This record gives sequence, C-alpha cells and structure tokens, in this order.
Amino acid sequence: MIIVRTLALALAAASVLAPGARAQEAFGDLTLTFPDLKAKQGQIMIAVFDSPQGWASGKPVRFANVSAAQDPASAKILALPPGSYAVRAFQDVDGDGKMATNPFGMPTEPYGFSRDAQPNMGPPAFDAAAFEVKAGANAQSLRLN
Amino acid sequence: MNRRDILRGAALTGAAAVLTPETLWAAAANDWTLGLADVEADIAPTGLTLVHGRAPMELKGTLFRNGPAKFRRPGGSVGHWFDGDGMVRKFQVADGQARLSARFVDTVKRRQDTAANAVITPGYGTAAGAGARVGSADDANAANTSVMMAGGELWALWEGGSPTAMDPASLETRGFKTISPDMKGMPFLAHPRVQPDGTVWNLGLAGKRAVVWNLSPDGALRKAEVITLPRAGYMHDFTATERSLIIILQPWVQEGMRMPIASTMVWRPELGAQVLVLDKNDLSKRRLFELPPFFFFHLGDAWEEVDGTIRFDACIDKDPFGTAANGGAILRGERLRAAPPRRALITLRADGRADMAAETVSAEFPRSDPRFAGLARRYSVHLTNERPDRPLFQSVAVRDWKKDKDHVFDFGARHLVEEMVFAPRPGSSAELDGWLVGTTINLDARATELHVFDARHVDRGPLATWRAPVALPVTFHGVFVGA
Repeated sequence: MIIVRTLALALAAASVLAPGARAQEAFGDLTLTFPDLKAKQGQIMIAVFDSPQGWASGKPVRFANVSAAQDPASAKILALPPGSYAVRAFQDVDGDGKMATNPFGMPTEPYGFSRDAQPNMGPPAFDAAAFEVKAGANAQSLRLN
Repeated sequence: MNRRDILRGAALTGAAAVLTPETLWAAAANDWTLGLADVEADIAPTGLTLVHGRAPMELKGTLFRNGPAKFRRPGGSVGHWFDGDGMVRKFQVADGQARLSARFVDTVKRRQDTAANAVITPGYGTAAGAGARVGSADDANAANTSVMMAGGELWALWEGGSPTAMDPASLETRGFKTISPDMKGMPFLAHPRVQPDGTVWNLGLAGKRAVVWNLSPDGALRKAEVITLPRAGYMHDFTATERSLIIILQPWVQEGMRMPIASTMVWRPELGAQVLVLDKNDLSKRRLFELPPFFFFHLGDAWEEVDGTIRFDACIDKDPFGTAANGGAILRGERLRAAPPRRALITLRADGRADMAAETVSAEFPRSDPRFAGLARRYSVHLTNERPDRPLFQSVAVRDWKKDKDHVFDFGARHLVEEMVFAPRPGSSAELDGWLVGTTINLDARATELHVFDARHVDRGPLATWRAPVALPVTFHGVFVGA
C-alpha cells in the first residue's frame, strides 16, 4: 500500500516537474484585447510582468506589439507558465517606439493596465493589475486612455 | 429669534437630527453659508427680475462666471472651497433685460465623485478617497476657477490642468482642451494675461518648472516654452506689462509631490518674496527683485513707465494662514480670525530695487479695464470691506491711483459680493468709461443678484439690479463678452 501511494505521488510530481511532456495543458495562452481605441493608428506596445519586483523595476517577462488598426486590436501571448501576471500597454500613435510625454513627463499617448487598474499619482501596484493565468486559454481586456 | 425658533427652523431643513444645539446657534448666525451651498442641478435659461433701476440700453453682452458649486456628498465632502465642482454661470444682458443659465462643467472628477457618491478626487485641500483615479492632473481637474474666450470657445479654467472647452451658447462641455498634441495635459493657470490685441500669456506650474504659454487670440499655440524658476513657490496668478512677464515667487514653497496640494506647501518667511521679470520676446532675459515675505493670490495688471519702472497692485496677506486657510474653514461654516487681504502697490525700479507699499484698505479680486492691460493705467477695481464677523466681502471699490482716491459702494452686511468686471461703453476708448458688471448673493432675498454700475461712479450704487430665482454659491472669476 505504502509503495503504491509513494509511486502515485512521484508520478504526480513528475508531471509538474516535466512540463514538456504535457505542454498543451501546462502552459497558458493569453489573449489581450484593446477595445474602443480613439485613434486606430500606430502600434500597441505591450509588456507582461510576472512579479511585483519586475513590475517595479520595469523588467517584463514578455514583450509584444500589435497594430492598432485592427478592430478590435488584440494580441496573443503564448505559453506562459501558470501564475500571476500583470500587463501594461500604451498606444504608440506617433510611431516613434516610445511613450510620448509632455514636457512635465505626463503621458500624451493612450495607456492602460490590466484589470483596468487605476494609476494614482504614479502607476498602480502589481497586485492591483494582477490576474491569474491558468493552463489553456486566458483572456484580458485593456482599456487604453 | 429665540432658541426654539432656531430649532424649528432647523427641523424644517431636516438638519435637527444631526446638529447639536451649539452648532445650530452657529448656523443661525452664519447664514453667509448660503454662499457656499451645494447646487444639485444645472439651471435652465431663465429671465431675471429687475428689482432696481434701469439698465443702460447700450450695455449688451454676456457675463460668464465660474466657481465651485458642489462640495458635499453623502460619502465624503471637499476639504477646501477650491475643490468644489466648477459651475459656469452665464448672465446675458440685452435691451435692458437679463437672463441666467448655469451648467456644471462635465469633468472626470465630477463623474468620478458622482459615481462614488462621495468626493474621492483629491485636490487643493482635499485628500484622495478610496477608489480615486488620478492618472493625470486632469483626472482631478475641477474646472472651477475662471473662464476665458478662445476663438468661438469658452474655456473653463483650473490651475493645475488643461482648460476645459465649452460651448458658449449651451454651456455644454466639449472636453479638455489639448492646445497642441505634445503639450497635452500641461497645466494652464486660471489667470491668463490677455494683451489688448488679444494675445494670451499664461503659465503652468510643476514645482520649480513652469511652462510659459503664448497663444493667439483664437487660442492657437504660438509658443510654449519650459523655464526653471528660482523656487517652487505657490502661484495662483502672475502679471505682465506690454513687454514683460512678472512672476512673484512667494515664500509658500512646495516641498514634495502629493495631494492635497496645500499639504505640500511650507511657509518659509526667511526666504522673502522674489519677483522674476522675463522679457516676453526672450525668456532667457530675466531680472530678479527681492521683497519682504508676503502671501498673495491675486495681482493687478502691471505697467512700465518711461524710465523702466514697473508698477502693479497686489492683494496681499502677511502669511497663508488667513485667506488661504479660511477657504477650508468656511466650507464647514467656520471662520478663522485673520486680517483680510490688503491692497498694496509694488514697484520694481530700473536700478534693481523693489518696494511694496501696503495699505490698510482690504482688497481682493482686483480687475481693471482690459483694454489697458499691460499699459499705464489709472484705475483698479476690487472688492473691499470684509467684516470681522463674516467671511467674504460686502463692498466694491474703484481705486483712482492718480488722484489717490477710492470710490466705494457698500452693499451692506446682507450681501456677499463677488468679483466685478468692466464692460466698455460702445464707441468710447477712455479708461473705465463704461460699466462694472457683477453679482452678489442677497442673504435676505436668498437670491443671486446681478448689478450694473457706472464704472466711474460706483459710489452712486447700481444703475440696475436684477434678481435670479435662485441663490448660486459665490464665484471666483469671470469675463464680460460684449455682444
């Protein structure tokens, strides 16, 4: 009996430790949509973070960009290990690859955070923007303004 | 009135359940709080009733005024007068008759606070509540301080964010004005200085940095330049001559970046006041003058004399613990004991010396004939006569600097007097030849009144007075737009 149970636990552990064997189930795919863009112009620049540390230091685990001309604009982030993620994005309307700011440093291009987390005298905290990515298909909608 | 009457009065207003007898006594004596009451809805166009005199038939135009009109919500209220929702009032005068309409500016702040059923948006003297969204300064923009015309648009002004464009006919809000795409969201003070040719100069502040706006009369951007100031002094207003911008750096200094804004300001009288004079044609050409410490909100238009001497009037306090602090207290129906702001004449001499002659006369909301903005002038218009037992002013004054004489009309203790602006007489170009147009709240009639004075004879009292069917809270600033 004890041997059987130990074996079962070992198999269960192996399935977690060796994701390659069951990739389709173990990774999550994340579809991001950007509804109601005011200007259907330029690229949407997307950064995906997996920790408060990465969020605070501006070190994303994934980058993506997608045309803002599609309706609705959407992007697919493939094969994320399940866990907690947060996304920030801006629309590079003028196509210079940077988030434009006014001379006092305030953004002048549309931007937004996952879970519609609201900035408050600075970007929101990771936790306010964080959502769970599970194995399989996941979807989030980001409002840019 | 005895205590029983007061209690009965309070019961009628539904307040008895929440107010103690002690606060009721205070409330009974403080009916000036009508000037800071909440307005719940826009005012559809309505005729005013002529209650005194006869309006000059030549006077045709619109007085637009702005001021906060919603302060209190069930889940929380503003902490300061300056944080109420802006409501633009429109008084139209033509053919001896007057009409009123008023609409709240449809701001992000108002929408956010309405949805929360609480004032959650932070501001000048209000802390952020739960759920507040302040992604940019415009999310906290109350659009409640002043108005200006820019081309065919009416702009409602605040001091820390963008102008808000409105339709001057319907007072419908069109949205924040982006003066140019790369300057989106840059602050625009509520006190633009408009040259007689219509050129608009203004500042926007971010600590020690300032943007200097130069707009054409239709509101189009000519130039916006960022400059660095000697210090991050609180600034509500600046002034200008024909050639120079004059920026006073008072020793109420911003230390840190947070809201409410007033909580970041530190009074440092040891720094004194500095006056920065910039050449409009080359902002790098600057002169710096030193004055003793004082606090101010408002300055009069400046002028430059042949020998280079610059003069302007100012409404000054000895520190920010009077006028500025009272803006929080009066919302609670209280009043801090403080001397009212006084009139002063500031002189900047070509040899680099500066002096300030402070008078005893109380003065606020200084205005002058806009056709003489930046030019040598003789007259200032301001409010005066603040009573010791009540906030706000009860008289209007016209100062004649040449004759060293004041003409004053006293509305009496039962009026809260608002800023008065000048409307020129058609066909005349002489300074102050025309009318003063402005409003008061008549505490006995519990109604807003619109008054027209002969500007040269303000002491004779209003030529005409109309009464509105409502009392709207006191406003800050306005413009008269001739028809």
